[in-house]
Amino acid sequence: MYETDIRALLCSKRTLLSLLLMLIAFSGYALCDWILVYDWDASFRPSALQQTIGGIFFGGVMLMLPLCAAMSPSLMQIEEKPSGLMDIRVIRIGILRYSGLKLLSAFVTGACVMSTAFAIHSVIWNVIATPCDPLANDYLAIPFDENCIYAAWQPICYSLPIYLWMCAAIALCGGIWAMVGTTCSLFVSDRLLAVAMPFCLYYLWHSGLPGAITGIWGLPHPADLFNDALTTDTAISSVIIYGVIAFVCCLLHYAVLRRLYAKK
Amino acid sequence: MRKNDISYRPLRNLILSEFMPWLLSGRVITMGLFMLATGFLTVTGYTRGLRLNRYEMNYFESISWFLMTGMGSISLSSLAFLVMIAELPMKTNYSGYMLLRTSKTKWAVSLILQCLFTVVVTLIVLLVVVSIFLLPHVSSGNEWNDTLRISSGMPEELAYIPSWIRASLTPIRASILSVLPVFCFWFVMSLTILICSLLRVPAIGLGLYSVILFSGLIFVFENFPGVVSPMTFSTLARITAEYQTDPYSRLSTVLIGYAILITGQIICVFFIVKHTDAANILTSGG
Repeated sequence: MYETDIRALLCSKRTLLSLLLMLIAFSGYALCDWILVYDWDASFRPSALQQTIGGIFFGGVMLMLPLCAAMSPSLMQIEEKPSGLMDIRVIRIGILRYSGLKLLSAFVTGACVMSTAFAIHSVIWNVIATPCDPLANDYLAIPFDENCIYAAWQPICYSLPIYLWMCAAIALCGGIWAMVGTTCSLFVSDRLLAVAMPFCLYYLWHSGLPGAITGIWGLPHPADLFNDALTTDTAISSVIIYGVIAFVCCLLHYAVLRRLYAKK
Repeated sequence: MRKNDISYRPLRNLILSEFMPWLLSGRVITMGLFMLATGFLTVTGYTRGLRLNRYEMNYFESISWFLMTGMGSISLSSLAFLVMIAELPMKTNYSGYMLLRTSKTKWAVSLILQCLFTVVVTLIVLLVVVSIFLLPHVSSGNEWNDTLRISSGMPEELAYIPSWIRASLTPIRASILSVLPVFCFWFVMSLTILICSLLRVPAIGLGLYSVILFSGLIFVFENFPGVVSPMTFSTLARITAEYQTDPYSRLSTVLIGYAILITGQIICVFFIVKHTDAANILTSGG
């Protein structure tokens, strides 16, 4: 049943659409930048690494991530409710397993969409632009802070560790935001709202709502895990926060389903 | 009973019957809360900046800045507003009955007024709530504090309000002028959504505006001077950004453009409603 659900989600047109949207979000900034520097001397053009991560740091990737990650799983969850498929599945496998199934398939879909989009985007730019080799050309080096974990990785194998880390981090964030979307879609019956809610939550966290309410300003940013100022401490705190969010999603998803079926 | 009561009552009933369900719908409440939360965050950031720099700003100066910059982020505020109006024209189970009891012209007028009210009510609620957040942090008075600070040595670049506004307008007038582009942008958006719904293609209106709003976040239009994003016309700051020497002629051109566009859209609504069968009108919508 797990494989069926994951396959149905991964092969859906909506997943393809969100993958395409995410690819546009990744490449939009890089493309605009590349058109501007196209007639420059090749050695002064930005490196493949700069082009790959430019959209994340300066473009709309951070904001598009929750929307694209949650689109397909949220809509699938919301459509299962009125169709009666949810009732049949809950009767067959129980609330706990159904909840686990939905959240796992959402996580896998979100992670796959995000990591595939990033992987395609980075491969494309490594073909078009000069791969990053700061040892061969100083101009191509990105001036990361010395505490940033990327600083030491930049000269290794055309910055492959940075690409791998970012791909994994984006996959983790995408997966968790897909779980958030699936949980949100249990609370509403409106498809547009189900897609918009994870985006709103992400943006409020991104804009510092937890800090403004609690007065604690040290909380990690939702995109810290793949952002340019990433230190070991930030990475650990971000993973912990995302772990807490995933745990809360599991609890909420299960609790809402239990409450829903206790009434039936 | 006066004559006016008879002619306006169906129109009032039409507007209220569809406007109130819209106002109390899940989308409006959720997105309204999101807009208020982003407004709160924008004001919190603004007042923190004032506190850190030991600056003073009065109420209307702050409201001008808030509207001029698009309430923190015009793309996101507009996106929230887009979700709120995606269902226009709102359908109730008595819409059909009301349409049969009145005329198509009155129904078209009620739809346009609904669009107007959605924009006006959203802006008023947003401004009232932001005022509540702002009031404990702003000073009294109706002069430009930026001008006072610049005269005592602050660089012009640190000013919140552009010099051309400070030189020719009072803070109250600047606030009124700042709200106009946002109002026009949102009104055009709501009329576009309405027209697409009446033409039975609501996804096109929603998709078009999603592209417009997200493209501002994804692409760097500044790299291409020949390409003008529709978002350029969304706030006073954006409209006059590259026309600091002659901002009024630029602003008046844009506002005239909006007036022509809105008139065209209103004519379109009347035309579509007049030439569509009532049964089709009742099944159209988001």
